[in-house]
Amino acid sequence: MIYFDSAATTFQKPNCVAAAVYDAMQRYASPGRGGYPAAMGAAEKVFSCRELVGKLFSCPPEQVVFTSNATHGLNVAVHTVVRPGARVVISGFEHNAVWRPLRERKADIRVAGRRLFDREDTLEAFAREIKKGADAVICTHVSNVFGYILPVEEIAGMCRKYGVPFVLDASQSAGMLPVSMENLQADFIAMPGHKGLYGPQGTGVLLCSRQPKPLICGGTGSNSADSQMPDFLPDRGEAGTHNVPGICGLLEGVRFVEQVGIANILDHERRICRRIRSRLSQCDDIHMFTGDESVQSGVLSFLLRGRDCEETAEELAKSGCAVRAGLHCAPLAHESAGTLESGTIRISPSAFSAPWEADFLASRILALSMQGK
Amino acid sequence: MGREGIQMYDYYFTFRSITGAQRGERALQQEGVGYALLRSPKKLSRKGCGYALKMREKNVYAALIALEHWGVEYGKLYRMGMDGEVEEVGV
Repeated sequence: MIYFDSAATTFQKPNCVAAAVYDAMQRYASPGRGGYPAAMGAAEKVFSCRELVGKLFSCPPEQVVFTSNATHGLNVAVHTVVRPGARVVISGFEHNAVWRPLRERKADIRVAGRRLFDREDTLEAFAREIKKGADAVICTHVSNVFGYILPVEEIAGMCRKYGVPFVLDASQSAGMLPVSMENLQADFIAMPGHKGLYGPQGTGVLLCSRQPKPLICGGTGSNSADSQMPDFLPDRGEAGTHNVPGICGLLEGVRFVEQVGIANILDHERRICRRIRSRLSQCDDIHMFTGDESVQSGVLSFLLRGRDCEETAEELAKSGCAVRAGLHCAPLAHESAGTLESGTIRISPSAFSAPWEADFLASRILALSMQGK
Repeated sequence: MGREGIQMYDYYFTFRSITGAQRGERALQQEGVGYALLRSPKKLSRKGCGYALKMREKNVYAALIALEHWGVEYGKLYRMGMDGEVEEVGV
């Protein structure tokens, strides 16, 4: 399989990730419960993962709360900072993991910045909305559909200036772009473990610079005699048994990212996308959604004139090429870009994508464009 | 009782959670202070289910310095005699 759906989940992982998951299932029990070697061994691995994640994202280990994915983390963040009816400013490129919890919470949602790859427009729109008065700002770092890199450092700065809580969705940037809790001073930063951090599915991280309001209450292995959830991190955000095999795998994934370097990973993904773009640009029937490379990560959406996007993806799948078509759980982003009716086909490489795979995918797309002519 | 009738004590720095104790553990590792990380004896964990860094008296001062240097907050410091009697140690 030629896999180009890493924005959904990275399929190829470093070999040590699966090995760590398997090893954990052989060796480790539940951390923070017992005092015997299998429990203490699990605790050591989990803490090591907190330390390494904290180092990568510039925060202390106790601010690293493990979740099941970014959606889980974003729901905790919304549950904490957004009361019903609150005025919340979001970008025009948010995922349903932000949109739906806000709708569920009956927030007064203000969408700021709808122009794709236009950072100035995004900043002006956020400044306007924040100055009008905002109870919270939630913003994606990178659009999962188009790869648009939003100016989140400046947006975070505006939030600090006006004392507005700021939540960052780092789902498409963790492991590829610099994300620093210290610099952004965000209230929460949510990310999946299974995309750019190359961990297993079922893992995620929520960086918390403040106490979250628990979404789930239960056993934490601490303060057991107290009927309330602990008032300290990370325990307040982690009720129930941890996904220890997943966290052990995540630890290896994060080690891989640290060793390779996030700049190198981004550079590689951009080169792969650039290679595909240069081939597809030969065909007038292919419309690609691109901006200056400085504002676009390694994600590329396109449309084939006269062809349904889902049918195109299906044909590519028959050739062994895995891409994702449709609305990508981000109707707001498609609405902003004018692709809500058509959807798009999204190509998203990883650190493991090879140039020949890019060439093969491009050749298959070009072949489809020639069919019926 | 140890040799010559001298009372021997174990000292316990207690923590609310495993994560807190692990931060303390890292501080002691950095400074080369001997310890054991274990579940807090029940009589030391008022709210139940805590963890502790246990050590002999000779390491306590170095541990205090290490924990302060690395910014690690602990709950309380106790000493427990071989007869099981516990007293809080003021620092």
